[in-house]
Amino acid sequence: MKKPSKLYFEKSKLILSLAFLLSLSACNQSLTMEAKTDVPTPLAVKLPLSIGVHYDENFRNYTYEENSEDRQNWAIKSGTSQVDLFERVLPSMFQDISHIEDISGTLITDVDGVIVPEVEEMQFALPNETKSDLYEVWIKYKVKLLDKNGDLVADWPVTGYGKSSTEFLKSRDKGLQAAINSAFRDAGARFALTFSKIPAVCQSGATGIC
Amino acid sequence: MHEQIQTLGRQLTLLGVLVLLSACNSKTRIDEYRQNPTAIMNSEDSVVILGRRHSSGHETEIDFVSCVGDSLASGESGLQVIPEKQFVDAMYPYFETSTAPMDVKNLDRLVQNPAIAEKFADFRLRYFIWIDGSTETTDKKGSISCAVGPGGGGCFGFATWDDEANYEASIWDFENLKLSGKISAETTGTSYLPAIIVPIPMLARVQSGACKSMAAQIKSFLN
Repeated sequence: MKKPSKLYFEKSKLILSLAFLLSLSACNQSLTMEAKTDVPTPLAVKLPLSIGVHYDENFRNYTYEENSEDRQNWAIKSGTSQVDLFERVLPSMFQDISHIEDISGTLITDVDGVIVPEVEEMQFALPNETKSDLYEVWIKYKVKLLDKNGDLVADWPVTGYGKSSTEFLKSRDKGLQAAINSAFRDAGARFALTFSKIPAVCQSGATGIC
Repeated sequence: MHEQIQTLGRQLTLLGVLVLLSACNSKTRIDEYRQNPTAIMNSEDSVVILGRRHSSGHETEIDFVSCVGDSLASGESGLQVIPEKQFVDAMYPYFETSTAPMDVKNLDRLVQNPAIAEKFADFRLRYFIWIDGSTETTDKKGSISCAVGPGGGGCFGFATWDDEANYEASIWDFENLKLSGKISAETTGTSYLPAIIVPIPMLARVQSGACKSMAAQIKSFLN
């Protein structure tokens, strides 16, 4: 019987090593990504208000982090996208928009009110977790409206839900990215359409829009 | 004798190929319900085809909606079709999944907004076509195993699956603010994947079949 050559063993080792590395990468659940947003400019009739907007550090740098058995080392950065979302939506809603860097204890003149968005919660669901063909994302904001003195006039929740179907050869990152963008669009739409209907906002002296 | 065996072999191979080809055919059933008459469209009038995605269990595929749109726009009697994304982006935030009108009567409320009315006029919209449905794999059988060794690799086995496409199109007449009618398409088909070293997919074009049938029916409904 012919003895296998040295080249045969080398080739076998290489294939086994590749298969081992492939199986390791298949089990890797870690995720690092930066959410991107593609929200169009809303079609809206501008309210005759001069509104300030303040994004705090937590909002600007918001990162969803999770380290569980199923979601090892998840880090989804979305601060920049959340700022982009409000930067796209707010100028179409109000006559004038200005950025307020500091809202602590100073009198803010030249504005009718200041909007301060905060991310309260973000949730994700993957197809294998829900036994569906969908990537799903929920986002919940708390939006505050302050008066010129920096006092709270109203706060209300704004939620957004987005989903994206699994398609042939669509990666987890792409599926989540599409669902996140869809959730941002939904949150922006709800914010733009409900702002003037929030009773506290409507009745407040800061806006006087009712 | 040898020639006879060769001829028989050729005939059997041909028969096998024909059986396999006919096996992955799909069947489509179309239903139409007309509630109000439709008017002949001017050449400048347009239609928009939008997918419903509010159901938690499924969402109408973007590529199915664009397939119906492309089919409607093609040919001599092709219609002016506004692409879904272009329309939804231009109308943001009024035609998002959670904010889109669910009933034709809600359009009346939307057109009270001058910004929306102006956009509708720019698009020269005559009909809204809402498509709701999806394509799903309903049954899977068989298995395929693949192996790789130093001398090469290959796959062996046989798999088969059934796909079912169910879609319903609701046609809204924007000029009269009425439901013109509904068209539903149901397509079923079985795909096969035999593997002898190399997998040979024989796919039933279920979604594509539903798209073409639905587009043809919408075209005849509107013309």
